Amino acid sequence: AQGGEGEMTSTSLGDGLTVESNWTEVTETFDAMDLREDLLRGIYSYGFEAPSAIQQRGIKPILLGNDTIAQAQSGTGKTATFAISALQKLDMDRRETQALILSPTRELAVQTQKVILALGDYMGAAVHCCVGGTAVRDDIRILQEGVHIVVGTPGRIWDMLGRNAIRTESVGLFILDEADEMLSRGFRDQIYEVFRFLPEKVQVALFSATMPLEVLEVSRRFMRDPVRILVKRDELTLEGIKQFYVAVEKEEWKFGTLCDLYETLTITQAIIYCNTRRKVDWLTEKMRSKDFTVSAMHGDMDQKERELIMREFRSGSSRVLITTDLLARGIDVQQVSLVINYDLPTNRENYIHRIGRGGRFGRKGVAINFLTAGDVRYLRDIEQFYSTQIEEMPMDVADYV
Amino acid sequence: MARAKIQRTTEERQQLTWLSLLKGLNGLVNRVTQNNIQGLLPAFFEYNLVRGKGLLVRALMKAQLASVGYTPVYAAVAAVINTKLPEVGDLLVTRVVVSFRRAFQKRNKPESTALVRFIAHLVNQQVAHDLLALEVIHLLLARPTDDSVEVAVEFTKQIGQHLSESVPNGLHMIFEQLRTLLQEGIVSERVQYMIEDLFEIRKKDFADFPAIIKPNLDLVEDSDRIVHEIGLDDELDPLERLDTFSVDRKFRQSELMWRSIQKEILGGVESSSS
Repeated sequence: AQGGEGEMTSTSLGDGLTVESNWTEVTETFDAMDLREDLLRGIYSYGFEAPSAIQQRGIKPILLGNDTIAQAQSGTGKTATFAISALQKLDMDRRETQALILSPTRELAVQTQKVILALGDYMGAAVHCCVGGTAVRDDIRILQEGVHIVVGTPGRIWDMLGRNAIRTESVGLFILDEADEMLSRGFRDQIYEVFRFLPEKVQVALFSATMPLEVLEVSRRFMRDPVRILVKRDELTLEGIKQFYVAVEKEEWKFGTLCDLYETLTITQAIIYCNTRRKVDWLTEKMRSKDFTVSAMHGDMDQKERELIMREFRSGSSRVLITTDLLARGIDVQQVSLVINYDLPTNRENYIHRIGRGGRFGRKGVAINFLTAGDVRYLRDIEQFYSTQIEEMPMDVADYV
Repeated sequence: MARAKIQRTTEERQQLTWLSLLKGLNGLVNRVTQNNIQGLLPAFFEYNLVRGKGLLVRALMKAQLASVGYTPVYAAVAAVINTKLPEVGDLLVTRVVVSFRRAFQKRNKPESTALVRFIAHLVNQQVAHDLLALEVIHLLLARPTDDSVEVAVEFTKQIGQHLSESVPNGLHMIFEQLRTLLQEGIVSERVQYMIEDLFEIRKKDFADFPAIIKPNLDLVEDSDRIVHEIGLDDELDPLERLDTFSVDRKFRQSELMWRSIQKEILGGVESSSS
């Protein structure tokens, strides 16, 4: 196989993505990946037709046993990259933990588990999700019954390893998802502790949107001669997303503007961001009084509640999700065509996390920012920061949504 | 002078009515879900649906295309309105059929898939006739390609439960055709899997693909259903002129007429529920 010493080559894919890699092999179809038939079936029945850029480049090296670093933003198909790799490598005759996946948040861990279960449906893969906020005893019982793959947050995984509930002698593949996010959340020591439990020869695959020093340090310490794949958007994740603002002047006029949008556009499902929990509650009430079916979510809710609400929203039984920034990252809601910033984000980094959601997998997304007189300079700041343009919402905006 | 300014011209006034019709119906279509449909339905009749039927149908079709998951909800809205104003159902089925023919001809798979789903649920709700469903399948399987078979499989999933009760022979024939396709191996592996999955779904009586979601979307008595016998190859006029504003010379009269229709409908709704 090609080693990590190879030269980095750069290829523009023309769909807003550029790939840089020291791995040049590209596998353009799932059929050509030599996958087990029941996995292939799971992939197709999940709705995938062709592999995404990162899947075309990232699955093969992992299957061949290389330590792999994939730098890619959410929405590029990275979850399926490691899910397919992990499933393909399973020995179904052994009901032991063979792949271990660390995620930064409970939501992401749960979502990852669901993807793996769906893809591995025809294989009968057993996947357990270990996250805080659930009963330790249940975790231990399920783990002792034996599962093939464990996904979870660093704290709970470390806890389970310490209790010897996860046996590691069969763990051949260790995956760190959103490594930058995990490290910025202060999980560094726990990640290092988890490594200590794993077999010497464990294969490591690391996924990260950015490569800060801390991530590089992890890769230097624990990875051998890794294959490196960088999939980046040419213009960050705002590429392909139509961004508009509506000048509402006063805070009090925002609600009327929102109602007007609903009478003008075709809105399947929308995510509306507010800056405070109080505003979330207030807007939820206000919209419900106008016969909207609304789900609301904020950081004070416990995990169960949040899961329930996400399920409700994903199933379509509510058409509006009102939330704060806290949960903006890593929530995959495919059908959302519109994101509304009822309040502009107070920190400009959050802007891309909120808006990025609408532009996944090349779907067109529209973001509408409500702008009071005092917000104008913040909007200019965001525009400058992302070197993007946010234009006043045109009359024919209905054509974009 | 001042007075002339205040007093809006007839055309302006009619335009305002038209705008509120457009916005009001669009707003309702954006809000309706399985859970609030019952409460929201009377609100549709607050708008002049005789004048606004083009707008309503356009809003429903745009919304359905954008959010295929809500197809059963939109079909249920159409089914209820159809019992009171059959011309709405007629126009909807007409336009869906015309759009499907166009999408199929252009080999636009996503649009074709979305539109057959709408057709399926309009048949499930008996706004459109079973025959239309069989004609659609026939067209899709006549010259099978990966894409057309995939659309056919999607359609059969949605319509299967209904056909298994109303036209079991027809459904049987569809599955025989699909079986032949499998044996001949002319479609790709991916589509073969889909066909096999469909056989599994039939084995379970389409349990995960109910014709009508009960009880939320089961809103029309069988005896009230008005089935439009529109065929796939019929010459159809989608009446696109209905979607743009034009001055109504008998505006007051038609508004008054609507009032009386509306009174009858809403009165009827009240009495049937009490």
